[in-house]
Amino acid sequence: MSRRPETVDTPPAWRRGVVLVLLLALPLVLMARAVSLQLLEGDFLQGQGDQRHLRVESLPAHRGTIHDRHGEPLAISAPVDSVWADPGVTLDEADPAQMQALAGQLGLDAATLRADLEARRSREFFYLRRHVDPAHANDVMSLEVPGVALQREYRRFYPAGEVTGHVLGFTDIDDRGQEGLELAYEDWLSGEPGAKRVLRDRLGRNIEDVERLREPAPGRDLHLTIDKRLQYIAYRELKAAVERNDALGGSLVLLDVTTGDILAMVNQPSFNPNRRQDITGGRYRNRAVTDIYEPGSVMKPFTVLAALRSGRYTPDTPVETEPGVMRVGTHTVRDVRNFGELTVTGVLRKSSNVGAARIALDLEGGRVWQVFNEMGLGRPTGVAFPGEAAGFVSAMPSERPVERATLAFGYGLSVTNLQLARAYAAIAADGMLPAPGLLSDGGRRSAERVMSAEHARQLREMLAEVTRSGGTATQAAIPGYQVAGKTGTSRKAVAGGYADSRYISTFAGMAPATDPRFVAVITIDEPRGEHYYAGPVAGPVFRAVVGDALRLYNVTPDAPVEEEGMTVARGAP
Amino acid sequence: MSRPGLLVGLLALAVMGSAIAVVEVKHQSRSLFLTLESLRDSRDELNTAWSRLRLEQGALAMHSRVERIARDSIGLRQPAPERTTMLRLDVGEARP
Repeated sequence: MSRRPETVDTPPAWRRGVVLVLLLALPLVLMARAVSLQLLEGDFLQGQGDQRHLRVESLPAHRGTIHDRHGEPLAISAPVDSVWADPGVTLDEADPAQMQALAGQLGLDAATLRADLEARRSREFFYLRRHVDPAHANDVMSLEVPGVALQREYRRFYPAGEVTGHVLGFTDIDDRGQEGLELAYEDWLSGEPGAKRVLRDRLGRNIEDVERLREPAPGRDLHLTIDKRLQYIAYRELKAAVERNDALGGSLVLLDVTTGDILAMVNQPSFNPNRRQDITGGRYRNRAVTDIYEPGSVMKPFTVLAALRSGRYTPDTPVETEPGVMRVGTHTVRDVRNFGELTVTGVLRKSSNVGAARIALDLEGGRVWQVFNEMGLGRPTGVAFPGEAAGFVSAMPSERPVERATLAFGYGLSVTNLQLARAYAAIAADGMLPAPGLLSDGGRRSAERVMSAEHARQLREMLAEVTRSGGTATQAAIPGYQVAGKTGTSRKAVAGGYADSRYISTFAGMAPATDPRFVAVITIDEPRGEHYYAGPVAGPVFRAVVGDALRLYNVTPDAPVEEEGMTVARGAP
Repeated sequence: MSRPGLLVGLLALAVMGSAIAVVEVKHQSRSLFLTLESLRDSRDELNTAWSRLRLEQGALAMHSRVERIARDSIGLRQPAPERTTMLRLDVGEARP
């Protein structure tokens, strides 16, 4: 301020005071505002600011791989990208040409895409397309559409496709198990997703990874007892048989006799787990484990076992089946024709219902029922497969002759294929009933003795007659090997009785008969072709599948070689 | 200068130094984190490539495909029993 002594009108002192106060008040106001922002509203504002920029992204965990018994992958999770958008940003910032290009890349209609985004404008996250191949996802990102970003995910691939569909099951789009082993071992296979904090700009692009909050923990692998090669052969042969016989469906179980390992398990109709639209209706049911049926004549060996146990029967004891028809109460038991007098072996070879009924009625009540129970029928096998059926055997043995007679040839109880295979495995493994399983890491109950080794051997000898000339399943014979087995052609139970021309044809067998390595059970549901007897329908499947299994596992042939025309080279190596 | 003044000056310098060190360390941590992230990215890329290759191998080694090629292109087939020679390794004779 300059001083001018000439001028006398000095401004009053109060004006100076006012100016000073005002000037001093300004910084105070600023400070007060700063205090209010920093201390009073600070947390709220900080949070709001961070929300616009810092985001927590989830990092998907890799789902465990499923291997077969030789380590071949059966289910692999491969990384894919899902394209998502922040609808508001995309609508406001993207120009029409970009939208058009985006829609084109995603295989969508531009107008639909716009409408979809418009409907979700208030949201911040919307999947445009899930599970895109990473290369394709990069093409989409190179369009640089504002608000569009990628999310890493995993998609399940099944290299064997239909062949292993029923056993493995499948996962949903979020990689959670829905059926089969994928469902049963969901906790084991799925990992724990991780999380990271990222900094994003206004358009939703990641600018910087700030920190890892949690590393994703990958899921664990699963090793199965399934042999992919045998599984494929079983699939091919069963499919061919179902088509050849114009049947509704079918299933096959192949067991390793001593360990109870399930080497192959296939069903028809099948589905491809890689294509979700295939998965409809009952196609994904693992019939071998979930479906029960009345087994029919395949149960006769166990009736014979009850007879052998009584001590009053040997394989050569004569059994009168004349005249091929027998009345039990109000029920008539019939054979396909009059076999006359048979031996116990003959009853199995010719599959005589009359013979089996006569044996059962001659035994003390409940003996046959007891054998069926001991074979684990009517109880779950412990295979830990979702939806496993327990089957049905009456809680108490029936005293009524009709039921005792029909039980002897496999009516009045129901079983799954797996249960039947397990029961036959007991015959094959010298009387030890194995615990079947799909996982190779053991943890199973040990096999339990259900019959003496001598009875098992006698049964195998008798059953070997079935596939020889004069038996009911010559079609199941494997060149070079002796095959023991039994056919069963049972009528399907329908409302009010048994259907006239709807059958289930079953063949249960083992090879080589002298020292069995494999047991297989094949069921064909409602064959409507030329044949319906189990021999011609299911027998060829057994021959093809078990024949290849024996060859692949290098099992020594046990048939007398001269018969088969094979040359034997013997000599010092 | 008086001794307390010297002390304050030294402390001020130390504070400045520590502030610069904090900035430096923060910068290092950022750049290391970036390296780590890019390594993770390349790991993920390798994983992607690996699973793609496994799937490709699975598709090429599909039994149906192998079987078709063996049967149709190379003309392989399973020998009939009459054409099979069994070699029996007699362990007893081999080790006298």
